[in-house]
Amino acid sequence: MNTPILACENIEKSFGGVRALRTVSVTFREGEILGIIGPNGSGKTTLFNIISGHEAPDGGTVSLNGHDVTGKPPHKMAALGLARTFQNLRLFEGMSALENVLGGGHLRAPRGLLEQMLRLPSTAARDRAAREEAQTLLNAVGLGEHARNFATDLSYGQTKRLELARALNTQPRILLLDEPTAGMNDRQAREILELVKDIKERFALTLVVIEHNVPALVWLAERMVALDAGEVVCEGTPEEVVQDPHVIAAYLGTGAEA
Amino acid sequence: MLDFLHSRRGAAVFLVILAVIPLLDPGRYWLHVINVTMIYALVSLGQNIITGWCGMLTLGQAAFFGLGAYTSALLSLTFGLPFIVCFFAAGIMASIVGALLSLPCLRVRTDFLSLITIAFNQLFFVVANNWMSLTRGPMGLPQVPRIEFFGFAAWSATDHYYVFLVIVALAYFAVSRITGGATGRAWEMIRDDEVAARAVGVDVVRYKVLAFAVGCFLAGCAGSLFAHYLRLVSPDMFLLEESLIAMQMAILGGLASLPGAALGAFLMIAIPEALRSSEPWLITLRPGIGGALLVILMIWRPHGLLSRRNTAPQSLRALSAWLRRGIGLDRAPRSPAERDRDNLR
Amino acid sequence: MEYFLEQTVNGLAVGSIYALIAVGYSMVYSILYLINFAHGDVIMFGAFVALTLVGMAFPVAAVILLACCAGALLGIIVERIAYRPVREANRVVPMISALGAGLVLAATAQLIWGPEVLPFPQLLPRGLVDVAGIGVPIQSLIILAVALVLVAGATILLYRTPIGLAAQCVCQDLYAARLMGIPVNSVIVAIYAAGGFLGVAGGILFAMYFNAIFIQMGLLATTKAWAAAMLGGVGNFQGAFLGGILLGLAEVASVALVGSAYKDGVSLVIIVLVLLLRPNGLFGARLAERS
Repeated sequence: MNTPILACENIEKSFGGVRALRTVSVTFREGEILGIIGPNGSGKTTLFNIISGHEAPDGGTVSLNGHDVTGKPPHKMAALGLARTFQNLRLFEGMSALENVLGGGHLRAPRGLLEQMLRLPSTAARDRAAREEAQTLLNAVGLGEHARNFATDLSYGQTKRLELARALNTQPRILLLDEPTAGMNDRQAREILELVKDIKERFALTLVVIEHNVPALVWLAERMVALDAGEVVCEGTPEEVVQDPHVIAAYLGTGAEA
Repeated sequence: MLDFLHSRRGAAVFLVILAVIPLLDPGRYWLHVINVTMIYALVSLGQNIITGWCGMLTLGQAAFFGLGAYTSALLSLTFGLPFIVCFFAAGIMASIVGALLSLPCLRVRTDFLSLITIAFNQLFFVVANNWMSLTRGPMGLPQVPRIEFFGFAAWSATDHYYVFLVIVALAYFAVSRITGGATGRAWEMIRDDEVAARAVGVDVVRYKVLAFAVGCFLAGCAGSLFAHYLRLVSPDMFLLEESLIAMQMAILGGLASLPGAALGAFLMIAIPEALRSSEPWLITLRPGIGGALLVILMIWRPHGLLSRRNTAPQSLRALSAWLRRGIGLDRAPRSPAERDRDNLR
Repeated sequence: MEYFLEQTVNGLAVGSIYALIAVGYSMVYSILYLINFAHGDVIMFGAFVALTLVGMAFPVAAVILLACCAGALLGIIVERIAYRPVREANRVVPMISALGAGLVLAATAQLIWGPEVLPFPQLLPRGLVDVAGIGVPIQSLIILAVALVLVAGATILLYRTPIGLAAQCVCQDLYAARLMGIPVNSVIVAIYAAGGFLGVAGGILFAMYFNAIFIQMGLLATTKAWAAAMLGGVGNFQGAFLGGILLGLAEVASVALVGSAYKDGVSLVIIVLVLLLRPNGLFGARLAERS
């Protein structure tokens, strides 16, 4: 339970003159739910982008199961069992909900050109199985009836769920969720977090969640990390973190800063 | 209707209709018009893979069409190679050159693919027009051998008709399998959102180059058919203007749609060719009319005429999106710059 | 030696024409990340307008000014019809509609002026001036000077004036810019208009220099202008100027080395090499930092 599955050490990243992350080190333990909080611009999403390979860090290392994976491109990270969702949804808008989820299974699908052209019974069987799996995942996130709808025809809450199903279909070991409840009211947020918790158990995931909704995250997370201005200011149980004076200062501002 | 056209049954009905046309004895001229249209249907298919499925604007398909035509004609004229060998060599040649040309661009900025292909098309013409010892320049290569394979030789327009029908049907079938499989899905994912495609494990550069290679392969094969059918190749058949017409075929027919690819060839080739003698202005004004249609289509129905995606008129969709944004259900649309920035945040 | 210097002067003149055309493409690309394929045809159309005005015996200055204004107007029309309605679509969509608009312009021009290559009158004084012992065509010097002034003007417009500043904001974040009260539509229109204005100036010089005007001129200029823009770094107008001059010199050199037939291939080679070796151009792209 407590072995580190993913570790970031001394990650640094600057954009132009802005230091988005300065020597951030976070360890992710297998099977836990880790929450990351921090005010806007504190570097949360940048950290995700570096872990998932969408950006290369200026310094520091990312290691997965003890292997150095720093700067590996995202498609390789996906193959290693890392999946993510995006803060501003990134669905495939020209594809149906089912196809979106099927896209998540890209790495397991028959990909040889000849294989696809001949489409031998074994290939067809694999395709059918993949469709069934994708449908099962859609059912699991409550979109079973919307398989044929285009992503653009779903409501906001539904698109969030669809993105979750797509990420799950990569069969990840680690799932990074970037603000799963952004833009939702309390009831919707609770529903989606319950779904997330359920999914985490069912698929035996390690879960990392960025959230602005602190009470919701306190409810969900087993451990929390707070970032501010590109640095880890506090790490511990949710209760410890939300009572930490640094965190309160970061969120509410202090007299000195104002 | 659209669903039927995209179904297997629709394709079968269409194929049967095409197969009986020569039996009705429409005359040589009409068969010729359909023959040329079928050849361009392959070009249109290739363009559609690159632009419709993978979302890359390429504007040099005529050069790959020409590369295939010249490769095939030269191989059979100089070395006397059989048609089948020349045909595949033409496709492979176009595909390799296409992949090599696109690679530097696809690694950095896909936008510039359109520029590279325009420039390549211009260069292709210049080389074909000036390399006298190889291509005989503007005089072209006459007396390209007939289509012959396994003891069968195509003499009449009907012979060619059936040869082309089989080849084009096979090509469309093969492409339908690819686009219906994981590769086609990967292309569509890249078109819709590259960042998300990467996140689910798609090697974006590889699939873009693959799309380009397959699209150029089809153009090259079509070029080979063209050369052995007209029995002549000359540089002015492969001008940049032809590429623009290929692009219009793919888009006006319907992006990411197989019947759309065929319809595009029909709109841009069959109609003007059929009316060539009675309405000659149609050929001259074809690019302009097509261009005006493009603008209208991009505004009204941005994925083309037949694509399955937009079954509701664009105006209604725009209205509903506006309403949804208005009541806060939908996020605001993003500019390209913003999209890229989201990724960096 | 004399031949070499003469050719260098030719290269400089041609290159500065490319740079002028490049600025219009570059401006739109650096603000909207869009290759405005209609630009080449706007230029062609504007040059034809100039031809007609010459035929109507307008004075030279008026011809050039009016044609450039026509270019600006065409730029505005293209923006209004082929860009604004599709601004929010997948980024390949505005490229296609721009291309469509270009094709419409080309067809219209063909209807009005016909498909033939026409000679273009010489509007600038001809003759040689003596510069350090070498006879330099006055025309080349004037072209160089005009291009230099206009490119400098464009740079000032985009990087030193309020409208340029607003354009930079639009580039960074269109929606935020609108929220901040920047008239986004007007800024984009201004960019298109300025591009059309400068482009037609380039187009007239192009037609005059080669003494030819034809429908396909727009597309021919497209690749050359982009080779210049990319060599200098997209969005970097001084870079484009230097890039254009390098391209002009390279073309002149290629004529000497492999013959005039392959001159038009130089731009492809340059585009590919830049993408392979220095995607930001020799002098650094001035695309905004996307952060």
